[in-house]
Amino acid sequence: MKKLSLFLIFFIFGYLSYSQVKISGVVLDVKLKPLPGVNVYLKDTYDGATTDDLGKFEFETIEVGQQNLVASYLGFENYEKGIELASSVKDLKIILKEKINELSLVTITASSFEASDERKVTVLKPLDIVTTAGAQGDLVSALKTLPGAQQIGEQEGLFVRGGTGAETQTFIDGLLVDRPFFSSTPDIAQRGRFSPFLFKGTIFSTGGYSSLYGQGLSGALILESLDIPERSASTLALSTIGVGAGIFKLYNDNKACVGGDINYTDLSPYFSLVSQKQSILSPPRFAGGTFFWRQRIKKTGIIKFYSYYNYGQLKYGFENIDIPTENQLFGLKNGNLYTNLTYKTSLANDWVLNSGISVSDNIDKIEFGGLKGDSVIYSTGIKNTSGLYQARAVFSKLLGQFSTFRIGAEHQIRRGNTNFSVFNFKTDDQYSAVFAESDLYYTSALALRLGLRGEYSSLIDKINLAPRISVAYKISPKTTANIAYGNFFQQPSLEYTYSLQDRDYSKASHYIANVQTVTKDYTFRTELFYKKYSQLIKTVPDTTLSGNGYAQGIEVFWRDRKTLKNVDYWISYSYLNTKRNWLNFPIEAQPSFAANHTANFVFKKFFTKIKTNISATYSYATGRPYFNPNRPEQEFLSDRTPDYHSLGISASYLTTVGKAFTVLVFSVTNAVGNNQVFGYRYSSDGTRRAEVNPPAPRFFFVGMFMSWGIDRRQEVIDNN
Amino acid sequence: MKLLYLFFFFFLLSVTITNAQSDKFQKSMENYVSKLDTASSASTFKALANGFERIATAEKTQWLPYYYSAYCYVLGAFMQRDPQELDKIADKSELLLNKADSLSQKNSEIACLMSMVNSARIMVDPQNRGMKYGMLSSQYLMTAKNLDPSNPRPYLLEAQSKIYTPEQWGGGKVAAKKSLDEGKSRLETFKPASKLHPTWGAKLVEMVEGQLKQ
Repeated sequence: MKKLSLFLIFFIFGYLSYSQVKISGVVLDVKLKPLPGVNVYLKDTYDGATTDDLGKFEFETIEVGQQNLVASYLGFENYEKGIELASSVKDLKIILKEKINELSLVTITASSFEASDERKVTVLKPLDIVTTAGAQGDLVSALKTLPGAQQIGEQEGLFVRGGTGAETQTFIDGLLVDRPFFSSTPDIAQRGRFSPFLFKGTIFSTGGYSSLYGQGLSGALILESLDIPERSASTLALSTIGVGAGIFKLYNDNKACVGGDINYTDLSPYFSLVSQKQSILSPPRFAGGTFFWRQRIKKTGIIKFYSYYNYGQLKYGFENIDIPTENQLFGLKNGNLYTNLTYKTSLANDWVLNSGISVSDNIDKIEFGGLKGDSVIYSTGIKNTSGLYQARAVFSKLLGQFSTFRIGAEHQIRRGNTNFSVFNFKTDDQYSAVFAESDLYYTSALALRLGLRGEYSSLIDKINLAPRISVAYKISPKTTANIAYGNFFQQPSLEYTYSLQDRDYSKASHYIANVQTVTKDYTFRTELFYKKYSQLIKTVPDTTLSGNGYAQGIEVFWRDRKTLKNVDYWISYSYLNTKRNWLNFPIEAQPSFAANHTANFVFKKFFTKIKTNISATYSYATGRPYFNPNRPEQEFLSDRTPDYHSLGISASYLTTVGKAFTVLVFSVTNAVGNNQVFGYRYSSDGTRRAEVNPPAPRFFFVGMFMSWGIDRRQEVIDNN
Repeated sequence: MKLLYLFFFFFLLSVTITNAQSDKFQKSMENYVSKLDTASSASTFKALANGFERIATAEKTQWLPYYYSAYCYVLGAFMQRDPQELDKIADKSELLLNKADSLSQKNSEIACLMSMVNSARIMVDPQNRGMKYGMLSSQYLMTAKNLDPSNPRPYLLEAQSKIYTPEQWGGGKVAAKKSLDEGKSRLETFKPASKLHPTWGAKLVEMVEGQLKQ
């Protein structure tokens, strides 16, 4: 018996130490190229090896019987196969398939410029869109350096591919923003209301956009707000145009944050130094504030509240072309409130809900009249109030590995009220939309987006159905081709809608094809488009929807971050051929908001030694049509303004003051002082005319931005 | 009697096997850990990362092999130039570190590596990522210091990151030297919990000193 046990023990030890088998082979990818560095091993054992440069591996094991052989490699699907270990296993051939991840998936990019998600190689980064001299920290001004947008200086908005500013809508977290810009004043383009740093993602679509959005014939600016910042902080801003202070604080184990800011803008000191074309009676003064609160709920949910209020007023006189001895008076008092509340959460069965409600209210009190010198000789007032109240919900679900399906609905209540002397004009509309969209991936290189949107407005009392389709195909790992088609509807401006006998929506159909190559250092993109307008508003001879038009062109974008050291530059070029017959046009003509050729050159360089960032933006556009009453009808809008040139320059210096990270900023628009003519205003008899141009040839800005707790200097540099 | 022998036999068998198992863990780990000092090429780090990962997945309850595997990946990451590859490596390291963290919570050494992973992510796109990941990286260093004030590694990593940070931003050679000295004095007295626990740092001291002289 003893012998037996001893034997057994020796047997076990012998077994452990002597019966080794050898396993060897090679690991290849699907193209049969050897893969070095692959971890090949027997599951749940220490035994394994790493493949060499030729993809070969070899190791010994004392394991026997049925075992699982695993090969694992970063970015590839794991390989696992049962093998019987009796004697050595030689010449195994293992083929690993590349894992399809989101980064290698083709993305649908027809006509859209995305600046978001730092993991993806996008055309622009969130910071880039505002790293633009001359933009003065205005999101929309920065987007105007991208192809597809016009250089319009006398009116706010994004004028996209032959469309008006009203044809591009702004959305924050899916919710339509009623008044994304400060209220219009004659001949001066207003800034956007929202700071670019509220958003983690920006998509600027110049056509063919998703079915999730509607009511923009030409484009969409889709903004996604930030979640919870990394750290609490406070900020202070002092500049030649005003002061501001902000604070935000994280709490509840960094799962929630609360914050806000207040700011006061007053242009009187600036206007006393730099004379303006207009005679300023009351310089622009604005006071406002924001408040936000964000809270994570469980792992995947987040609730966000944002509220903005701003009040401002200004009054000035400008040339009266009909009565040279008098000036025209314009005064504005504006109050604007915008709030939104959004909630995102995961639901059962992999559904995700994105929902939100929003309230916005706007009051404009406008004063018109005549001035002699600085005294008002007569005046009259208009009071406009408007409100937009909306709710929206979108459910989305992942289908299979990458395809997604989205379905949702939204409802908007729009109220307007205009009081002018004894007239009182009320507008009231209830608008509903339902939409569904699916991104279908056939392979990681071929994607199809199918969408359908249905809309109903109580004022128009008709349903429209807009199908949209995009196809994206990856020609090579860095190059993608896209084609897109879609229909887009928009309600005519409410004041016209009431006069219509037969109410309906204006319509645009988009046809788009592009090719783009995006690498870490370079971006090249070229796009062809055709857009057909129908059912545009005609006001002469009668208010009808018989207007129509088209826009077509080609656009090119090139960005290079590598060739020159510490330099990032991009060039965009847009060719636009567009005509329309709408409003009071006697014939089909190129509208006054469209230039045939537009080009931008954006340049940024950081000088490490002096810790200063210098950036410059040069924009060029060919002359735009203007209305000359001395022309016969056949020559309507046939004159062109002089070409437009603009060179904006800005410099930022980084330093610290006490414990505060500080940036000093200097910037100037139109540095060389080109005369920028946006159009002409004629006297009623057509004998005299005046140029429409900016209030001053240049705008100078000097400011200091300080922050405690968080290094926001990069933001400030980019903001100016 | 037969039964007793049989019992004795199984007892012996189990003892031998468990002993062999923990002995095997110790020996295999020692073998790989000893190679860390001399490793310099990306392929060696890759092979070591794989080796540690095999032990980690076989053992399932030991944090050290996960930690070392991540350590090798991170060192490999600093040799990587392709941004998409770099993110993949950083993702993998984070995955391993999360496993290590679930086995040994509030561990100063793991926090150090998390800091390194976030620093590596900056390299993909310094201009756009600098702020976010730079901050995360220094937060992890802070955590690492708090969890074990005697650990020299957070100080050494801090010294390294300060060298190329401009003085106005709290960096510079003077600040780096200060962190380095703090790290060096801790490194001299640092006692690892076992032969297998992390002791690295001497090489980093040399490197930082070299960079300070430039």
